[in-house]
This record gives sequence, structure tokens and C-alpha cells, in this order.
Amino acid sequence: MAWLRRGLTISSLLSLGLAALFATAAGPVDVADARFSFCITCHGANAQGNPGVAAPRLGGLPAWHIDNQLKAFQAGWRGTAKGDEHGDVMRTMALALANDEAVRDAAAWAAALNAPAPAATLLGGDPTAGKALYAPCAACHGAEGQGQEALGAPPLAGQNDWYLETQLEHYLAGRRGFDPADSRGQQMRALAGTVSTPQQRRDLLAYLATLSTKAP
Amino acid sequence: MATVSRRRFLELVGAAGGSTAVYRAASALGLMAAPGAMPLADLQPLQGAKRKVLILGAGIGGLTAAYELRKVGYECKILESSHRAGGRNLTLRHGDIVDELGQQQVCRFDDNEDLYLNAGAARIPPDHTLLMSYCRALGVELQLWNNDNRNAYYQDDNAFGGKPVRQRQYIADTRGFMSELLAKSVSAASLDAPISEVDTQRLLELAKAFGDLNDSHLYAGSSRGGYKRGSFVLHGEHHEPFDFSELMNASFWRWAMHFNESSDQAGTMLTAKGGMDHIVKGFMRHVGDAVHLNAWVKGVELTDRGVRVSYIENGERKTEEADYVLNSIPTHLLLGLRHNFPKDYVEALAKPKRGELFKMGLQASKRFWEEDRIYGGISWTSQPITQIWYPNHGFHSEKGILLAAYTFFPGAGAYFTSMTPEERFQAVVQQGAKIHPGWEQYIENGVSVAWHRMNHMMGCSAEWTGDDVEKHFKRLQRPAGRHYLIGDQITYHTGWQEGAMRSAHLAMADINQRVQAELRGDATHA
Repeated sequence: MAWLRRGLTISSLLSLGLAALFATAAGPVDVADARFSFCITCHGANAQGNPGVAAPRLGGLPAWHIDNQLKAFQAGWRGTAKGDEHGDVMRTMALALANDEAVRDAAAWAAALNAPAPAATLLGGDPTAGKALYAPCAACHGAEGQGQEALGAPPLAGQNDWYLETQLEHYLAGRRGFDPADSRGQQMRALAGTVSTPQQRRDLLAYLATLSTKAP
Repeated sequence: MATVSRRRFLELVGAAGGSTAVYRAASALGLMAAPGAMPLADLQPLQGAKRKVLILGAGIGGLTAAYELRKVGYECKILESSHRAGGRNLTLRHGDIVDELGQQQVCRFDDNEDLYLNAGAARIPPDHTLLMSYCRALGVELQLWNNDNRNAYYQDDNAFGGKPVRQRQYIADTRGFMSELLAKSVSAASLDAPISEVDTQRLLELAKAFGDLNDSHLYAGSSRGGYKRGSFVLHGEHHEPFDFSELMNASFWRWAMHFNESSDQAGTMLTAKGGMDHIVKGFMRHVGDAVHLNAWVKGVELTDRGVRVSYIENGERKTEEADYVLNSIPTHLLLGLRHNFPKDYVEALAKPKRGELFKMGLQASKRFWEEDRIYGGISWTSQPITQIWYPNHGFHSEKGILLAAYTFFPGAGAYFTSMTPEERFQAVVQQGAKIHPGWEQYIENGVSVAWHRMNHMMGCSAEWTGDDVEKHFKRLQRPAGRHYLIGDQITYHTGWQEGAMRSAHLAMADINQRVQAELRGDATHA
């Protein structure tokens, strides 16, 4: 898998320029594109996320983030830990993408889908308490939760709250960020310790939901 | 004559035979509800009026609906997202595609009509009367299906040194020991209850007959367990009984031994001759022209007058309005579509869990199991493969298809599905070798179906639990506007074709009433 990890940096750089080109030059992508339309079986008709199968929103997220995650699945950084069966489904799908070009195209396709920003679904969180908890997160994920490509930190605003909650649980349980080669994941795993109780996570997610309403 | 109350009798039976015995006895006494006879949709012809029904999904529920509705004049169109009709009625033969997400397979069985695997629906209990009536109407030939073969094996890593034992031996010994215990408790005539002496005597005789006890009411082995040697022209010597604690170490008694007592599994069981998909083919002869394959629903919108459905058919976006929609899309995928369902409906859609059933079929070059006296039926094992099914047809022909793994216990789904098809094949062959040592030499190829990884489905039979049934299940049985959910997913016996059919009838009965009311209204206004 060493080649994959090396490939990560190069293709991330490539996808930066090309994905932007794809999105602007080609205009809105066709959801019926036969190369990728199987994605919406799980991720929802507009890739807006589907809690029924625990598949997150993809539409409207930046292509570089989706690209990174597809490669993380391919490298076994995600979807290989016991207790992450949904991740295992996604890993199978990521491995079915033949090469970096296919990964890039899939990411660009999904990112360009017009998915509405998700509504908050989790109850019992206090957004004010969540705002304070978010302070250390903002360094990487941005003050508005918009994400930072240079750091590989995905946008949090605009993602389904139930998905983010599950991922925080995965980090805390070591089901993500367990591979030493996954430096960003390892960093996130350490940071997840700042929201170690379920209530803290609910508070944080309640705050992020307020940012989501402003997300594209 | 002193009598024993029904309740007391059940307590006695329960003490001796456990809850299964109680249930059976209670059923016999008429204390349990008999299978309910639900009125079927008595559809009235439209007589020239026009009504359009869109049916989402060409599984058994959708096909049933189209078949019935068209007979009385409704215009029907079925949108099916996959490349085939049938849903989880899937018979795999030579060259068939298994559309698992990310890992498509092609079935490599020989090109021979006898070599097939029912990867989904596989058996029919005659109590499923609606399905039986469609088999009759569609000319689907039936044959016997064997759930209970005493010559098949039970293998448990924690008992009998991990060696397979014949079920006849295990069952005979377990019943023998239980009966001996019952006989002892009856003889002790403790019977504080007002049970007559005649009945006490009969209960003792029952114990003797049930467990094949000797004249001293002791169990000393039985020919029911098979013979060690002899039996025809030489004196037959039956096996010594197993050690009681070994019988208990095995987990067969916990559930599998009584599996075929259950309401949907007890003999006589049947199956469609030549493959379960003959039911699908039967329907398709009547409504095949209404089925649109590769038509992928994206949105379902309730409107004032009906339902608007948007979909992609072979890459082309389309929208269609209908007076009614019958929808069998799995609830967990339905949640991901664009829709404007009411809040309580959406809440209910999120409740059922996805089933994770897995089956793997193997082609064997030689029917070695028949030389081992196994004709049809099921072997059980404590290993992940859980079961091996032997074909119920084609006896003594050259090759055969074994169902060599069927996992259905909650949580068991991930074991095989996280593997590649080749890894599954290796694991299944390896595990099965504990039951049939050396069978590797006969296994030629295999095909696996992980229902919760199948494209357009991502789930097997829905699982409803606890309070969800009372509140949410019942909500989904009622329509949202003119949108009706159908399929086995909203029945009390999920995973049966009968349920898919009955759910369609439930919806059609309601539609019929509404339409007739509308037509009466039309007539008044005319």
C-alpha cells in the first residue's frame, strides 16, 4: 500500500486543479452518469446523505475531501476496524475504483451534485456549550466549519450531524485514526478526546448545526 | 374421574419439555390464535373509468399488485431499479449476474437446468395460502422440500470432539433422556394436581413412546438413532447413547433442533420445481410488458390528486404522475430519496433494521452426500456457515448444487460479507470440510449473495423490534396520501413471499374502496 500513500499527495494536488476545472467547465454533473450513479443507492438521490444506511452527504462537499476519503478507504485507514461495518461497505466501493483518475472523477462527480444542506436531527445538545468546545477544532476546520484543504480538514458545516457523531465515536474507540501512516487521522483521534462524553459531542454537534444552516 | 386443569397440564408439559412443548400443546388445545384469514382484496372492475397506478419495485409484492390491478382495468407501470424482476426471489443459474455493490459476480455453475441456487426465497409452507393460490393460478409446478433430514449432520466445535453426528442419533438420545426424566417424575406420582390415575398411566406411556424407553422406563439407546451394524439379514445393533453432558455441550438443542417446528418451517414444505423464480416467470408472462427495468426512482412527491414520481430510466430523467403508488422500495433506501412524506411516516420508515442474510452455493462434481444417505434436508453446524442444504431434486444425477452457507443470526452478516467472493469461497469450503471431510475434491465453483450488499437493496428481510411494531409498523401499513408501502418489510413475518403478496392485497383493498367511493361521487355529479 506504500504506493497508494505516496500517490495520495500527488493526486491530491492534481485533483485540486482538475476537480475545479471539471466543476466549472462541465457545469452541473449528471446524476445519471453510469460510472458513478450506483453511489446514490446509499448516499441518497442527490447524495444528500441517508441515515437509513448510515451514508453521509457528499453533494456540495469539496471534491478534495471526498478524494482524500476514498483514498483513506483504499489504504485501509477507514473501514477495516471491527465495529465499522458501514465503513467496510464503503471500502469495498472505494477499492472498486480502478485508479487515481477514477477516484478523482468520482469525487468531482459527487461533489458537484446539488444536495441541500442537512437539517439538524440530534436532540439534547446545547449550542452555546458547543461553541466553546469548537474553539480548538476551528484551528483546522475553520471558524465557520468550512474546512481547510491545505490541512486536509474537511468541512463540518453541511455534514449530517448523525454522521459526524458516529465518526467522533469511531475516533474515540480507535476505529479511525489507528494507522500510524494516517497522520491526519491520528491527529483527529487525539483531538476527539476533547469531546469524550456523549453530552459534549451533542453540544458540539448542536453548534455545528447552526453553522450548517449557513453552509452552501 | 379427577381432571387436571389446562393450565396445570401446560405447566407439567413445560416442566418436562420446555416452552416449545408448551407452545405446541397450547396450539393443540386451541389456546393460541390460528393463522388469521385476512380478507383478500375483492377488486371491483373500473368499467371504463381510468386510474393509473405506479408500482415501485418488481418483486413479488409489486408483481402481485400489477397482476390483480390490471385484471380489473387499472393502468399499471412497474419501475424496477435493477436489471431483473423478482427482488429477493432470485434463482441463480449459469451466467447470471450477482449485482453486489463493488463486487459483481457471475454465476459459474454448469449450463444445466438442474444446477441452480435459490439465493433468496427457497421454500413454501402450505399455510401460505395466497402464494399457493398464485402457484395454482400461474401454473407453477411444486415439489416437496425437506427441512428435516435425520441423516443429515449436526457438527459442533464444542461437542463430540468437533466431529459431525447424525441428527437422528442426537435427537433420539435427547428425547430418550428427556422422556426418562418425565417417566421418573410421573412415577414418583407426586402429581399433587388433580390428574386422574388413568391419565397418569397414559402420561407414562407417552413418555415411553416419545423417547423409545425400555420396559423399565429407562433410555438405553434406540434404533431411531440408527444402527452401528446389521439390521436386515444380520441382527441390528443400535448405537450406545451419547453421554448426556455431551448432548448438552452441543448447542443443537437450543434452537436448531426445533427449527422445523415453527409455523413457517414445519413439514410438509414445498418449493417451486426447477427454481423459485418460476413464480416470477409466471407473473411476468402476464405483466412483463408493464415492467420497466433499470428505472431508478429518485423522488416520490405526494400531490393533491395523487403521487408524482421522478426516476432515471436507462440514463434518461423522467417524471410520471399516478393516481396511486404502491412502493416496495426498502425503507432504508426510501429515506434517501427526495420526498415530502409526513413526519410520522418518515419517523416510522427509519425504524426497521436491515436484515443481513447471506447465502453461498457451491457446485459439486459428484453428489457424494447421496452416497452418505443424505437426500435433501439440512446439516447444521456451530461454525459461521450455519447450514448446508442438499438439493431436493435431481437425485442420483451427476452434479449438484449445495447451499453451503446460510447465515441469518443477528450480527452474523458481517462475517462473510467483509470478504471478497474468493475469500468467502475458501472459508465456506474449509468450514464445510468439518462436516464432509475431503469434500474439497468435489467442489468446482461457488456463488455468494450478501443481501445487504446487493445493489438497489442493501438489506434483506426487515427486522422490527419491540414497541416499534405497535406504533411505527402500523403507521406504515396505512397510506401517506395516495402512497402505499408494500412488501414483506411491512408484515409480521418478514422475509416471506406470502407477506409481500398480502401487503399488496392490503393496499389494493384500500385503493379499491377509495376508487369505488370516488366513482360513486363521479356518478352523482354526472
